[in-house]
Amino acid sequence: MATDHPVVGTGLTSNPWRRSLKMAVSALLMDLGYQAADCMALETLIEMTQAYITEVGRSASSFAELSGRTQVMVSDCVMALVEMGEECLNKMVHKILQVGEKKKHPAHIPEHLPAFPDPHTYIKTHCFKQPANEYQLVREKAASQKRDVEVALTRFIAKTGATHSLFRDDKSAFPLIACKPVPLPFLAGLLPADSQMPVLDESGSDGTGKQGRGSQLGLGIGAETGADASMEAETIDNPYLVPARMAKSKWK
Amino acid sequence: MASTEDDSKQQSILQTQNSLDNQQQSVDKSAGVPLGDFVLQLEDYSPTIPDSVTGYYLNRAGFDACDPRITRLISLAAQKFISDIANDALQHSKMRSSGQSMKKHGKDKKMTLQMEDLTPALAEYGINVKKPAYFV
Repeated sequence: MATDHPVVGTGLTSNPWRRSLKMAVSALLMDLGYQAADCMALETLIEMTQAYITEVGRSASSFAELSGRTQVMVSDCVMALVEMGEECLNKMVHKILQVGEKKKHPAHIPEHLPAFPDPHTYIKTHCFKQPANEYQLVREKAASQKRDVEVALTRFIAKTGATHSLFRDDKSAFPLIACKPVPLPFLAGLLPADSQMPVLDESGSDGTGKQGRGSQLGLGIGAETGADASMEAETIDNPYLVPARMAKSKWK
Repeated sequence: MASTEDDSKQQSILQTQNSLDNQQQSVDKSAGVPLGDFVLQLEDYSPTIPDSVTGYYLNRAGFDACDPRITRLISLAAQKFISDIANDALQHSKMRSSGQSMKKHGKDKKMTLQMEDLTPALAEYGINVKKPAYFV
């Protein structure tokens, strides 16, 4: 790099890190007992320091990548220093913590390729409970839920609507939902419901009934002629059930 | 003085290594403990080479320094390397000066690091430098 090496003859460099390294190396030499240093010798030592740090960094990161990691650990640095010949640290290499057993390779993967990482890093097991599949438990659960829903709903209506109490003195205990009497109770039994198609024998009793809804009476009369006719009577009377009319096409 | 601290750290490493050799026969797995302690000691110690400088050169080499203690470990190793070489050069210059001037028994006033001392010191490490003595 152009900025790393000093300008020839002046000993100055514009790279701030190189200058800091020069300070550090000079400090080391002062500690040893030197009072002065040759320019060329000092530059040699600075160059060696930079090369050393770079080589250890490259080597340590290579060791980390070899183990399948991107972050460098102390053991990688130790291995790199051992490669460089620093013997004092050659006994101190500790194991990387391993949790669980690594999975074996499937059959189609050769053995010399790197092993799987720790299983907790990529295998996900869902942590919900299996729902109860047994008939008895499900039945019990459904029954209890139904009971709870009924109780809750009746209590809600009793609390918000009109109530009829059983006991004279205690109004709030055991409230019953007050019954609203319909003026003509027998009418509900006589008139057919909208959802059902009336069977043929019902048409006889319809004649005595009141004028409830036109469609229903028409329904009762039409039932004699057949199901199709009653369908037509019903559809014609109800404006919402008229079949759609297609617009005439403009081009021929 | 940084060098004395440096030496004490190196000595502590050597001592733990000696104790480790004794332990090695009995227990095989206790090698990680001294290194762990040493790395913890690095939190208080700041090497002569600043963390940012070492970190800069490590980043250029592709080193992801997430733990500053690892950076300090490497800067300490670099310091040791350079100190060893400079120490050897000092010994060379002392041999040279004691051989040349026996009359001056007072301490030599000025110890200067020169290429003629550094070259044999580096040659012992297998690094052969050939610098021109003068610019042509």
